[in-house]
Amino acid sequence: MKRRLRKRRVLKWIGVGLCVVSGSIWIACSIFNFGYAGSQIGALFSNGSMQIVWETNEEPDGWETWPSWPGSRRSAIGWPSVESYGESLLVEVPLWLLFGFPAILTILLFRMDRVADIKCLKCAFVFAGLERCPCPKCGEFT
Amino acid sequence: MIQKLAKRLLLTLTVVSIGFAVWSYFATVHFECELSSKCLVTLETQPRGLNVIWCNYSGNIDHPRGVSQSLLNSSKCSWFPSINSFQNSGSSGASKYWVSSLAVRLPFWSLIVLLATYPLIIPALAWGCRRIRRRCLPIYACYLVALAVVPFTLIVAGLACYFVSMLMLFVGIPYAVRTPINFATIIVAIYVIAGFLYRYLIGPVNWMLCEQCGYDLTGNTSGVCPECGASLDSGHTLESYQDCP
Repeated sequence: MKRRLRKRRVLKWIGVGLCVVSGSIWIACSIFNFGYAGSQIGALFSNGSMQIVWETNEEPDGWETWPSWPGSRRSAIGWPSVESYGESLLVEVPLWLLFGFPAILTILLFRMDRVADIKCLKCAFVFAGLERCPCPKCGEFT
Repeated sequence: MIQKLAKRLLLTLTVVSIGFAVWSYFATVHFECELSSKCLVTLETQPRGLNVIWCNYSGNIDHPRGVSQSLLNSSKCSWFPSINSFQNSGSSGASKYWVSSLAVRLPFWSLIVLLATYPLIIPALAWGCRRIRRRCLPIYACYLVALAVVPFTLIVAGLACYFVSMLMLFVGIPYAVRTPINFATIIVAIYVIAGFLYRYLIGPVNWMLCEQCGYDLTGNTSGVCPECGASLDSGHTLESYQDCP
């Protein structure tokens, strides 16, 4: 029981960390453009989405940041896409999706913990002022 | 009353858009309408979706017609909705002209999913989730189902938020205002999805409440809800759920 609760606690804080990181990148890349150019792979963060390019055929020059292009201001809600240009492959992943998936799971984990602190999951008996398990009403180890 | 009306209206629109999608698969419709003296709307159906070009212009009407035609010819409707704005200007003879246009590409599936969300998809999901809970599956099975449903719900939420974003661009709200509203709509949508999944899949269920109206059925032996008249399943007693894990 204690081990399960501890695991859930670790999971939910990992979820919070993921949400903070992906949310920060999402907000930052709708204000600035930044990208990484490597020898085989390149990543561009702009307009609320992440574009990954394989086989860039460009000189690797590491990380770079620059202000958003005035003409390219799109909605911060984009859609996933995969395109190929000759030998290079471009994958566009919108960051609201990367933020949303862990966010939903983290909210669920938080809500589950809150209920575990208050009520029995089987008979909804209120645990206020009592040990958590077993439930004094139905005997359930939730 | 308002809920019922809204459901019926959305259901009708869903059926109409399904019919329109089927029709568009076989025939292309080109429709042009001059809304006011300096505003031209062009609509073209494609097998995948609708293309709408909205042009405000100065000068001769042939300029926005040319711009609309070139925009319609330039790209086909993509798998996801999109909106792009364009500015064209030039001169013909002694007079100058400008055309400000918005190109909206709206795939039929997105329109149908968005229209059917309230009257069909949410009740169907809720019904499915209730069935899953009634099968007394272990809670981990419910987590797995929730995990499988999350991407779909995210896409629906994204569509709704994207339509809000399109509407703002259409009205002409500046980028600095639109972006925070985009973030806010996505966060609200995520919170609503989590609430829905928790309520129907993961949270504790009081089996003694009526599924239709939430009336407390403790001690009910008739098998009919006295509040709304819904008939209950034969196994709708607390005892039948005692053995659920």
